[in-house]
Formats: sequence, C-alpha cells, structure tokens
Amino acid sequence: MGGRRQGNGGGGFSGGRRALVGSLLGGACLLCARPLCGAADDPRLGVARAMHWKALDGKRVECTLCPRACRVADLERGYCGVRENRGGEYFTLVHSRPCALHDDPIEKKPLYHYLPGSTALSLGTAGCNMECRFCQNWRMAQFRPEQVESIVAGPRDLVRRAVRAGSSAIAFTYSEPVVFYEYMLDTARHARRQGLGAVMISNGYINREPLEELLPHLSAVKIDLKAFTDRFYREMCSGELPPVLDTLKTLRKKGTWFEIVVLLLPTENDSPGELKQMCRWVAENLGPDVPLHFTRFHPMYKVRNLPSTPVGSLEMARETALAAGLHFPYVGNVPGHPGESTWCPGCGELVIRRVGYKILELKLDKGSCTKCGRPIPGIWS
Amino acid sequence: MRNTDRPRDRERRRFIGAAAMAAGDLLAGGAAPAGDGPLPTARGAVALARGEGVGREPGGPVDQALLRRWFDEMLVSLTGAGSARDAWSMLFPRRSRVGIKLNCLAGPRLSPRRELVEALVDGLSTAGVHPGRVLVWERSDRELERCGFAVNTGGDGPLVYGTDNRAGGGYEGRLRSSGSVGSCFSRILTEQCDLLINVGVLKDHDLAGVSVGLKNLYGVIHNPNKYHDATCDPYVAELAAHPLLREKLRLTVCDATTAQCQGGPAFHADWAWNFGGVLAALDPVALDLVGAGLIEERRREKGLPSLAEDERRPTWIGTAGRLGLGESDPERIRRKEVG
Repeated sequence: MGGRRQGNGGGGFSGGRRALVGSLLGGACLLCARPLCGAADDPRLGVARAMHWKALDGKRVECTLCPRACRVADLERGYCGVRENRGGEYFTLVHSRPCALHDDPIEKKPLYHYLPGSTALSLGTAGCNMECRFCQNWRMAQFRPEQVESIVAGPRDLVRRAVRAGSSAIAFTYSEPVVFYEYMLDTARHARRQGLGAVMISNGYINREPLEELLPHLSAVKIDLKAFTDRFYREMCSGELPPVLDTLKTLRKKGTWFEIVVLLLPTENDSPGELKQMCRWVAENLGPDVPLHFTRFHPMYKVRNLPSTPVGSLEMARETALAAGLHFPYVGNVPGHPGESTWCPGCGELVIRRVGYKILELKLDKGSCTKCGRPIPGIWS
Repeated sequence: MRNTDRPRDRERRRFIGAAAMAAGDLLAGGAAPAGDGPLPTARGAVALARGEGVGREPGGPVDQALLRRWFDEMLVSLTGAGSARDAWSMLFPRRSRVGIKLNCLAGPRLSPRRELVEALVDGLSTAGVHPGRVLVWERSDRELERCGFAVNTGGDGPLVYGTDNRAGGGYEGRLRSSGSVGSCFSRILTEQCDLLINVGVLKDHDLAGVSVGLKNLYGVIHNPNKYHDATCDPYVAELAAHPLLREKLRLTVCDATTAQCQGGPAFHADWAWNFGGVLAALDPVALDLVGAGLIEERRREKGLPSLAEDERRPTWIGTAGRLGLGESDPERIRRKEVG
C-alpha cells in the first residue's frame, strides 16, 4: 500500500502558558502572550520519541508502524491522531497517558483460553488507526489525547497496580494499542520481567516489523477480524483486509497464543458465504485450534440504522465454523448461551462453563479434558 | 441554545437577510440573522488589498489602522453598501454574537496577526457589535497564546479562548453528519456564536493542496485527522456544507501579509514570501479559488511543480462549488482590488 500524506493539525506545542486575562483591544501588554521558550509541554500529552518511522524531505516523516503509512508534514499528525511530526521528528503523544484503566475479567477481552477466571489490568489511550463506523469505544478511540480525560501512569505504575490488584496480566485494549505502541512495548517488557502477562486486544492493523518486535513480550493476543471482505474494511473501517490476515499468519508463525473475534453486523458481514470463506481460511491458514468468537453487535457510533445481531445469526456462524473443522467457535455478547462455553472437541464434554464473564465450571486437568484427557490448546497456568 | 435548524426559522432568516440587503443599517438593532451562503451580489466576488511594506517580516508588526481601512473598503466593495458602517451592519447585526475562528497551527510567523483580528473587532464595533460579544477562538488556548493572543474568558474586550478551555474538552457529545463527515463540533461554534468570521492564512498545505479559508474549518471538529485522505476531497467541502457552518459563516478573511507556497502547513522560511495583503469574501469558495491561484502563481515563479503535478490539486474547491457553497468557476470570479 502506498504511503499517504496525513495530518491533523497539531496542538501540544511546547511553550505557552495560561496568559493573563486581558482585553484584545486594551493594550499591547495584555495582548502579548508570546510563548515562553522552554516551557513545559501540554500536560495532557505524554510525549516520547516514536518508533517505526522514517524521515522524508522537507521535514516530513513517514510512519511505518501500521499499513496506513501516513506521510506526515511538520506539525501534523497521523491518521491515528496521537502521533505528531515536530520539526521532522515523529513523536507519540500518549505514552503513559491512559484514558481508561480498569481491572477486568480476562473473559471480557474476550480471551477464553487464557487463564480463565483471572483478571487483567486493562488500559487504553486516545486514538485509533481505523475508524470503524460501529466503534464501541469511539469516545476514546476516535478522539485526540487533548480531548479526553487521562491520567499519568507509566509502565512501572501499571505493573505495581496490577500486582496489587492480583491481576494475571496487563491488557492493552479499549481503543487500539497499535497507536500507543511505545507505551505498550515498554509496559509489556516491564510486566514480563515482573512475572506478569501482557495481552494485546487489537485490530491487527500493524506492520510485520513492529509486530515481530513486540510479540516476544506478549503472552496472548486477541485480533478483531472485522469481516472477510475488503469492501467492508474500506467502507466500514477505513482500512484494508490483507494486512490483518498477514498479522494473523505472523501470530501463528511466531507461536503466540491468539484468539479471533468477529463482530457480526446484520446484512454487512454475516452472509453464509462470507462466513464460510472466513472459517475455511482460518482453518487452512491458522489451524483448527484458534478460538473464533462471533459476537453480537448493538447499534453504536455511526451505525444506528441496523438492529442488534439476531442470536440465530451468531449460532449459524458458529455452526459454519464447526463445519469448517474449527474446534473452538464461540457465541459472544449473549450471556447464558451454550456457545459461550468451551466443549472438548474430542469427547464433546463441557470443559469450561461460562455465563457472561463468570466461570461456573472448569473441568481441565493440566490443560486437558478431565473426561478424555485431550489437551485443550491455550494458556491455563 | 437556540434551535437554528427549523425550516420556519430558516425561512424567516432568509427574509430578514433579504431585508438587510435592501435596508442596510435598518437591521442593525435587530435579531441576529444567519444566511444560506453569500449575498447574491457577492457570489464570485473576492476583495483583495495589498500594500507596500505590509507584513515585511513574518510575524512582525503590521499597521492596524491600514488593515482597518482595508476591511472597510473591502466590505463596502463586497456588499455594495453605501458606507463602511452599513456594510458591517449588513453582515453583523448589533445583537449577534460573532466568533472569529483563527488558524494558529503554524505559530506566530504564519498565523493570523493580532492586528488583523483587532481590526476586525474594531470593524464589528462600528456595526454596534460590542467587543464583549466577540469570541476569538481556536482549537486550544495554547495555539492562541503561541500566536500572541492572551486568553480572556471574561474580562473586558473580546473573549479569547480555545475549544479546549471549555469543560469536558469543549466538543459536543453528539455526532453531526454532513456527507461523509461525521464529527463532534466545538461547542464554541454550536452554542456561543450566531455568526462566524473564518480567518485563514494564504499558504500551501501538504495534504489539502492549499489552506486559505475553508480548510480552516477542520478546526471546528474533533477528528480532523480522519479527513485528510484524497487531498481532503470531498471532506473540506462536505464539512463546510453542514447547515451549522453554512448558516453561520458570514465572512471569510485570509491573512496574506506573509504567505507560503510550499511546505505548509508549518512555517518554512524558504518558501514564505511577503505578499503584503489581505483577502476577504462573503463567498468562501471564490476566496479559496483566488488564494489557490495566488499560491500556484508563486510556485511557478519559484520553479516549483504545480499542485496538480505534485498530486495535491485542491479538488475540494470544485466540490464545494458543486455543493452550492460558492463560486468555483474561475471565469466567474470577480476580483475587487482595494487599498
């Protein structure tokens, strides 16, 4: 994909202060609020030198973090709105500035084959490198860092909080962790050193090089596969499908534990043909053991003209996945549905019973079905 | 907040607008009308004033009295009013709350000058618009301060502050749509301004081709970064077509004291030049067309490829014309030189 020029209008300049209240007409001394050289940056921003970009002529830069390949002029930002060109150098503006921080059940991510019943200290910053018309967290993901309330929490703070809360992992989630890559990488490194897990909940819209640099520090990944057509990615998400499929193949190749979520939008990405193609591709390229979650959509953001996904569509998708040979298809966002639970592909026995984010039964012995002894893939301890 | 979207209100405002054209200052004490685009007589008209030595130094001082005189002459020329006071009054009724949206991204050397804004505020006062009913704004306080504007949230004189000065970030919680644009608008625009003066700068823009007038309206929405693909076409035009902007935008001004033909939107001394002028129009599309022409002319003089050759022709100007926002046919542009 060719590089695109990108921008946003900056903000977050160095210098400046809350000036004297004065009249615009009342005299030069009151008017003059010239910037103070060396004054602190906007405290709402967490400015740090960005990784994965290259310099272009005329103080422009090209971001190589994600497939958008934004070409960003001086003082402008990338499509994500959180990476800014300052005089020919590229900076992230959201390092250590989460705007959401909660201890969530790991099932909420959802990661069903990763330490069930545990919690993850979950965080996200402003910004996203896609714009899904149905974004469930648009008040974070589609805003710039100055426009959201955030707190200061560096990697060490997060690890301390997670340990104190008894979390099994730190989860980079809510918005799009790719756009806060540096913060995620620093935190994941520190978490791993302290014996904590680190999981990324992402759209998978990331280039291979930064992904491969990140993966050794992650213990699990969840990828949102928005659909299986490029049309849907272009029209509904302002993205493209092939890079996401590449990410999934890289995850497989590198042996990172990952699960896939597909949010089904009625009439948009839920046709039997498309689902069949998707499931076949997953089985052939990623293997039968990758969990595939079909989750229920509710009207949100710019898609308010569609109804919530009928449960029947989710069940049909799950049946399609089973028919394609996938072992762990799930139904999501339908609390109490049997499709939320894990069933042994060997003997058909219930292995993990879930209702919503709760684990009601866990019939695993060292990662294997207690009835037939078949190993259930995942990270269980 | 007054509901400005009801058809009956729009009809009423059209009537008042027509009456204002006919009656000039008779409206000066009345309610604040909003309009649907430029006055018919001003379609395609762009006033341009230039002066020897104006803006010789990027960011340096300029003669405020001269700018003030230019604005009077330009508005008379654009409105056909009999006097400067009539012209200001025709556009800005006394009780209106007027927002002046600046473009301060590039910092003090390539942003609207304080003297120019003061000249506008002074001009408004001749129409009876008290400075306290004028709000000079940008996206953030910091951008304003960096360009020499002191934040004023309630003292004497015009209010001066950024959208981010308002509680909760300053943007509406709801999305407003216009074509392919879906955004939260600054509450300064939606709640605090009846009418808008859009003040841009004559400059090249790496993504949009040029940033003269309409492009500056990206600063009223929360997510401009989502609308920079395809040289911002159709996004600039579709945003400007939103009824809120269409009804409130009364005057577009372009600070061309210092201009820049390459490397924008940031200031680059190598490509900046002393144009020494100001442009104004009631027709924002015509103003962008003229501004783009001036930038192209300078690029030719400097041996730079045209914007089209550089794959960033500002096609959104044509789109804006097709959406009925103003005149985008070069044959129908009338340049009115004053000063």
